[in-house]
Amino acid sequence: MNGIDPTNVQVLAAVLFALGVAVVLTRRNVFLLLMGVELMLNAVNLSFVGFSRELSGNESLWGQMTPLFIIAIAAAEACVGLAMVICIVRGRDTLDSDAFADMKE
Amino acid sequence: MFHILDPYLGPAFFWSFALISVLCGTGLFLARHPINGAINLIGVMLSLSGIYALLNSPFLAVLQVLVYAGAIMMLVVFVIMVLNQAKDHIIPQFDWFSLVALPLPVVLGFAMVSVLTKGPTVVVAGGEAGRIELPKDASNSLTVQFRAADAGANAVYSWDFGDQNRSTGREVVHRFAKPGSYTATLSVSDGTPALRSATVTVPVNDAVRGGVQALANSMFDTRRSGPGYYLLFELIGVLLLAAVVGAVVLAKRNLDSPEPPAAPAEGHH
Repeated sequence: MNGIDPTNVQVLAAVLFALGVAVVLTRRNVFLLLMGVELMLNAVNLSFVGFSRELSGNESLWGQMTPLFIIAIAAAEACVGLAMVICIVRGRDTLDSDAFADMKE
Repeated sequence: MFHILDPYLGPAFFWSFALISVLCGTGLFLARHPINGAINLIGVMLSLSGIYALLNSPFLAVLQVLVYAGAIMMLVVFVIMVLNQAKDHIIPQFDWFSLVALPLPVVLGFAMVSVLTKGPTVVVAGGEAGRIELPKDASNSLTVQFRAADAGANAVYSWDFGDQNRSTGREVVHRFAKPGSYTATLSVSDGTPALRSATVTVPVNDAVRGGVQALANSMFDTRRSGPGYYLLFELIGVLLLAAVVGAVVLAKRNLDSPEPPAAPAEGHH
């Protein structure tokens, strides 16, 4: 249809995933951590769609079903995650995730 | 769907969307305030939705805008504004671990791509002569370009496209009448009696494949695709319901009896 090289799609997905990992690893704000996870999920979705285009007929739909479910699960994750952030932040008055380190004790 | 755009404008649109998404991703990485990061992430999601549309998945593109850029990011922005003290005093902070871990996904991605995206080529025993090179886009159009590997000056290439049409020549372009899976056969003779041949299966499909109907068919038509997707769909519904209830319970818990203020934050930089 239109001559997009599937390799470029996968490279873009890898770059976006790396950016998501970078955000999660280097930022300490809880919201930025959550958004980094969302960015990684998006990159994985893009990778699925890019590969699904290379398959033919019914098989190509397998690669489009998975992003559908990933999007639904991401919605659930954002919902619960933000509720937990509200719950935690209300008692501590900070959004720095290092401040939550004592939860492991 | 984008017939007007092919084949020259598709890559141009793809590159501009890719540029926007990478720039916005970098913006998220460097954002000072999480609300700036959220706006940048919405930019990433919108441009990814454009790429989905270019990649033949219009339903996912719409869903990306509705659910991701709409619902999820609206929720995130809303919560950021509720807890409006969110300025991050630590701008990206690198340690040895992240310096190692950042290039890793890129390297893995390149390795995976180089393994998985080899084109459908068929090599026949006895030499290079009978090789057919199919373009990677073969499955997305009714018109398919076939090319045979070079087999010498006086070689004769004859093609049988599998739909009762034949042609000769080293490079041929054939337009299939309707979508389907065809087995194309290439026969090469270079004067000697030995005739070499190669076959390749050509998936021909010009439908927009990620449409609502196709996805709904494979999800709800349990006779054809098994009950797996249908059960997963119901399971996701239950999961979302549980998530909503859990979120409401979590967020409302401290309203009546506020927790005593916690110990001052340790580990600040």
